[in-house]
Amino acid sequence: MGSGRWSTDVYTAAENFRAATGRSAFAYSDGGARTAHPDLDPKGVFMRESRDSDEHPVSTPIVVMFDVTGSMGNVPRVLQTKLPQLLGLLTRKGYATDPQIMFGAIGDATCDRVPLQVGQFESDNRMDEHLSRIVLEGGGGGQKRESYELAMYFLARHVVADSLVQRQRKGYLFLIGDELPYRKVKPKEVKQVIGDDLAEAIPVESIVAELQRKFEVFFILPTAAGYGGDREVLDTWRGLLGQNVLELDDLDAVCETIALTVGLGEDNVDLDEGLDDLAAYGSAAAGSVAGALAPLADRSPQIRRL
Amino acid sequence: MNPGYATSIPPTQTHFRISFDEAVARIAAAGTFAELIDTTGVGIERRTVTGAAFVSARHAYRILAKIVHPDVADAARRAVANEAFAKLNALYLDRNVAGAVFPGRRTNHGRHPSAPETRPYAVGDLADLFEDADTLVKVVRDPANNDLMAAEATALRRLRTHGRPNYRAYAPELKDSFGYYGRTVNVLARQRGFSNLAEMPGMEPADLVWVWRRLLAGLGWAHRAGVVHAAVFEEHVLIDPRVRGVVLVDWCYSTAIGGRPKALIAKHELKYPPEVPAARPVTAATDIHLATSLMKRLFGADMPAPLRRFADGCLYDAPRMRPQNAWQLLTELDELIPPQYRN
Repeated sequence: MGSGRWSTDVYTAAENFRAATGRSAFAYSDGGARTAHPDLDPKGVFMRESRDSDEHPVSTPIVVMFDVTGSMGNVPRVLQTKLPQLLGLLTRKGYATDPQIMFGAIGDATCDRVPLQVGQFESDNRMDEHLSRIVLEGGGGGQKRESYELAMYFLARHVVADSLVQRQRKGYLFLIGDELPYRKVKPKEVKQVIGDDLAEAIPVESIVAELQRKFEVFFILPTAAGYGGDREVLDTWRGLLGQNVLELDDLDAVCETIALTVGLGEDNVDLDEGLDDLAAYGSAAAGSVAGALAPLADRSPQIRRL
Repeated sequence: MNPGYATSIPPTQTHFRISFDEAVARIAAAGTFAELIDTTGVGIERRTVTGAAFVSARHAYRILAKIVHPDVADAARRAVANEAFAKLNALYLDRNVAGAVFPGRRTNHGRHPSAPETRPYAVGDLADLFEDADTLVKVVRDPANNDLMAAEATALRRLRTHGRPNYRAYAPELKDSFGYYGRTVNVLARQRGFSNLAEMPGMEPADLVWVWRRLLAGLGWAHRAGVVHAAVFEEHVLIDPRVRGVVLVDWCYSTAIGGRPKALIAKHELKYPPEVPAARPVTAATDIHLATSLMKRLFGADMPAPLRRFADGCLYDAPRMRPQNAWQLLTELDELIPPQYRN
């Protein structure tokens, strides 16, 4: 068409983009904050609500909680720059109708000062504010475990979603981390961090089962993190969540991975089409998302070749 | 304006193409010096580098003076020569010609074609544009805005030096930039055959799709060279439907990526993303917001639903929530539109 000059430019532009580096604001965390921002403090929270509205009549709740302890290295900081684009990606691709996204962060209740931070379900710019107010703890215990079970307890008992109540559709929960949960939800920690009175400890398996009644739960293990690719971590999470454990080797593709997973769950994309989408990127992202999603695409029993 | 340099072939000898009598007749008939030399075939035209004929006033005066000078005229014509030479001198002394005259170039303002151009070709927000052959001369109205003109020159030079060469068509070429009596003047190549989007209402969605794709391609090219345009509005996007060309003009508001915007266009204030009025650093996401809302305005009310959704996914107030890369966004857009429109 035409002279070819502008046409070919458009083709080559689409072919050879590379991921841009986003600038971001870590003002709250870098300012030396060592307590959860009031907006993100789970203590005394009755319910985090994902509600339908006239503007968003068919809300789809999506929760992304990531580990911010030291073992993750610079992964949390990268996530803090990448995750704001998740809403736009879901919207542009039409993978989810009226997405409402809640961000949160997981620390270690045994030794951290900020063991749990939870934002609100948002469908506008406030989610970016919540994200930038997350304190990047950088501590954590040295025992390959963090308080994932505490976060799961909170999400299981302190989230109410219209999608579930009105339409019997589960939400989506993505845990991004590289370590194991503690084996039990301890009443003392729950009292201290969330403020609930628990009569007895809850085994992590029970809290996962309770959580899975509300959410499709996924665990994303970035290979760039400290225990990335660790067999014990992978096996434990696979024991808890089955196929919903994804390994992610390119952090830049975290939003694409989450968006595609939601799209698959909502049936708004089939995997082949989604990967054709990413193949056009011509970057490492396509391979990385494909690798992360392989267990979802192929649910036939895997033979381990030792 | 300076018409350029004369050709490198100097006239080896002065050969008078017009006779003494004809020169005298012309001098007698002329009311002003401009009228006198604004004629072809006098044998005194030179050619600019572009091949346009022009007559240098001083050169023409000297040639005519040589022809009708009383010292070279014979006795019979001495009186006539005296008269003609005096008239020629008088005309030359109160001439209304600055430098040179282009014979046969008529303008539509009904004024004498040799008088300096006074009517702007276009009036912009901060500068006036004057036509000059195949260039546009952009003169800032208020010297306080010289820094914006300098920013345009800097941006266009940077696009030349740091941008990929095969995308140069997306920005006009800067021919020259200089100070003139305290005002910065940028000389830009004219984009013939192009018109801006403000002059083209009611375009078809099929056309708007190629405009959108090329807009993203051009912006991505600028961002990779480290430049943010920061004023992507209808009047700054020129298109030529015949070659499907898109050119982004008016880089006065541009900054380096991460720089703070120096100015905004008041009449468009409500269309800017929030970081511009707040003078916070602008990035690629700023241009993406501007370009997307421009496309939304062009599509109007009957924008196809997938495209509307796509646009809404680029228009968040928080810059970090918008797409950060125009070329990446272009690949996303291409997945959305049917293949037959991807051209």
